[in-house]
Amino acid sequence: MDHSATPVPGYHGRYLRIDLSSQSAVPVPIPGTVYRRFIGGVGLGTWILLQETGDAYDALAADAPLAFVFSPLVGSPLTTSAKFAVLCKSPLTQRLNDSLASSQFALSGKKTGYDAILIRGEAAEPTCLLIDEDGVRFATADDVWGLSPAATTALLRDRFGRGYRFAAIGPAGENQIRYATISHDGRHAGRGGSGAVMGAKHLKAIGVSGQRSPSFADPRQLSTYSKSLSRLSMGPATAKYRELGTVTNLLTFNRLGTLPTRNFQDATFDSAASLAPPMDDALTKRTRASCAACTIGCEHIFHAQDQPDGVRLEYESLFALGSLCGIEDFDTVLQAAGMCDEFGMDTISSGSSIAFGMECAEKGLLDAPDLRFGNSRALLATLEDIAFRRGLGDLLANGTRDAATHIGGDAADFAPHVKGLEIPGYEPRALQTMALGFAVNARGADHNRSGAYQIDFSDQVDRMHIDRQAVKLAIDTEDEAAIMDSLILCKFLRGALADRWASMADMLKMTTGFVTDAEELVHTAQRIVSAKKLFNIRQGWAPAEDTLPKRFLTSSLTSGASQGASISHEQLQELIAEYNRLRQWSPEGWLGDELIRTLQLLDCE
Amino acid sequence: MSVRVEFLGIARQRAGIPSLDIEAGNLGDACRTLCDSLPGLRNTCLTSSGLRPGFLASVNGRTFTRDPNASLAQGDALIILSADVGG
Repeated sequence: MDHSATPVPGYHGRYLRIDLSSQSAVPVPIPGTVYRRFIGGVGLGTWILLQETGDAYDALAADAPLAFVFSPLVGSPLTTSAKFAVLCKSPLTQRLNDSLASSQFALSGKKTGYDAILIRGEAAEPTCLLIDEDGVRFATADDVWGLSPAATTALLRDRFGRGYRFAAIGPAGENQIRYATISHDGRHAGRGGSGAVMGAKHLKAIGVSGQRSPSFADPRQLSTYSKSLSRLSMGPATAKYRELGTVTNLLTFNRLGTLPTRNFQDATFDSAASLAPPMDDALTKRTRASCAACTIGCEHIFHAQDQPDGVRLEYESLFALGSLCGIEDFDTVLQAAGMCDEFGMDTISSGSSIAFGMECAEKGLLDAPDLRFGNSRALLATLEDIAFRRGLGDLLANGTRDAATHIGGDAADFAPHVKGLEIPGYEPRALQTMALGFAVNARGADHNRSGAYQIDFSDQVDRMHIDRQAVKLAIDTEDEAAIMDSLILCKFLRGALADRWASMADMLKMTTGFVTDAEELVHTAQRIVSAKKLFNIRQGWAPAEDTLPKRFLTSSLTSGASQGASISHEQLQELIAEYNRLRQWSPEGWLGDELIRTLQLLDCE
Repeated sequence: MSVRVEFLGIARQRAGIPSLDIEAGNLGDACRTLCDSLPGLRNTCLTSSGLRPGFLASVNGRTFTRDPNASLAQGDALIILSADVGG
């Protein structure tokens, strides 16, 4: 192991391991060679989890690790780089979970002098961790237990000082809702239930503060490059995000027949126009905001009359709490999204769980007379029931896979998930490269770890009849995401980078001094994707879970521009076999010893 | 050929209208006509010979193209949208 006294530029050379049970903390050195192999963020976090864990364990057990991981770009002037990754075993999927978020927490967290903060153990009472250059403090969080993340953060910053930046859970995390989020600055590490892992540890909030910034390899060039990148980020390639926000996807997807509707029973929604956010509405004002250190400014905050503070709204929340539940009015979705923020719950899994419950109720599988598609009142009431595990909410709080098991009948056939993670707003039958991406991804159905929808929305494939040639293109998007999630950079920058691989290599060189190129980065991506797979194999992964629910493989879409689109089990399996072949995995998806050696993953077995 | 051009997202913002009926035999023809009819699209979403980077066309919502020679048939819907549909 390399225990060089001089850290690699851009890094601190260590992570902090905290044990809540014993109220102790110890720095752990990171060998210098690890950084080039795993970069940071999701890559480094996967390596850390593999070092810290062994065979299968309970995601909510006291000793289950939860890692907050920074990256070499954090603290640099590169736009969109103020991000961090949260990694753990997901209580929703029982597989690797890696969530990303942007906020001042990333900047202050890295300044504590660590590349990652790993938390194990379980506090005896509600606790707030405070981490700064003087060490770690364990403060009581009794009086903030039960509060929303925003209220918690405001109170703790008043108490401990404005220098601290907090990540906190809401009631959903406390109640171990399997898709609870970790929130900070109004942003969320959203998917997969990392908030439930915090809740199981009785950890309400983490505050970070510090002044230890690592040096960068070439600060002068980094400064020049950053100015250029900022200019590009404000150009036409990001205009959609800046001017309209991702919510504009709703009408686009509806027109193209790719908008999940009524629990994926259809891909067009008759009421899409009334569900879309109003452009010029005297009652609903819209303002814009940016993540920390971001020049794109994609956040669109809607201020309804009864929500003066406003609610951030993205396409994923709009589809999941809107068309997926058959909800026709924008104001209801805005209210529902605001509730998810207050409770600290992932909007995609929340909306999906309720939409699934609505279909079960309509089919007589659940005794819930009010739970019907389009019932706004039922949507809002069920959200609260989920957050506090009341009645039917307790069943839906564990996600659609678990709920389907309890409901029985044919519920599992239309429970909208892959590996337990609810499917985001891209209809798989109409976007078949994305269907493959959902099926094989380590995290489950996810549009951020596989960007295969980019291929479907292009002239490179026929999105409703893809063939084996699309598989390589899907892998390219997964590889690109693996590197962007490890650097960490916002994917909304993609369109602004003429040569993304060369640009990413440049950024890595200026911050860390690593002289690398596209070929090495692709190899690094393969390593990171394979390392995630190794974690899942340890946790019990089996080939049969790389699939889609039966609904998607046995029925076709019946209306709109994607009418007739279908994908069979055999077609999907053929694509998956090709994916495994190109990944150099076995036909079933296992990793061989030779590949593990080639990818330098011997310390991750 | 008579085709209906539909604008989505930023293209709709720049066009200022949701749709327009035009005569065009292929995507290049359509872009030329649209640049003349709707100046807000010129050099933002379109050039007089095709699509600007970052934009995409769909014929009837099923297939996508950037090829100026992509032919259009009578009654087709030509949809102009942002190429980046991340969300």
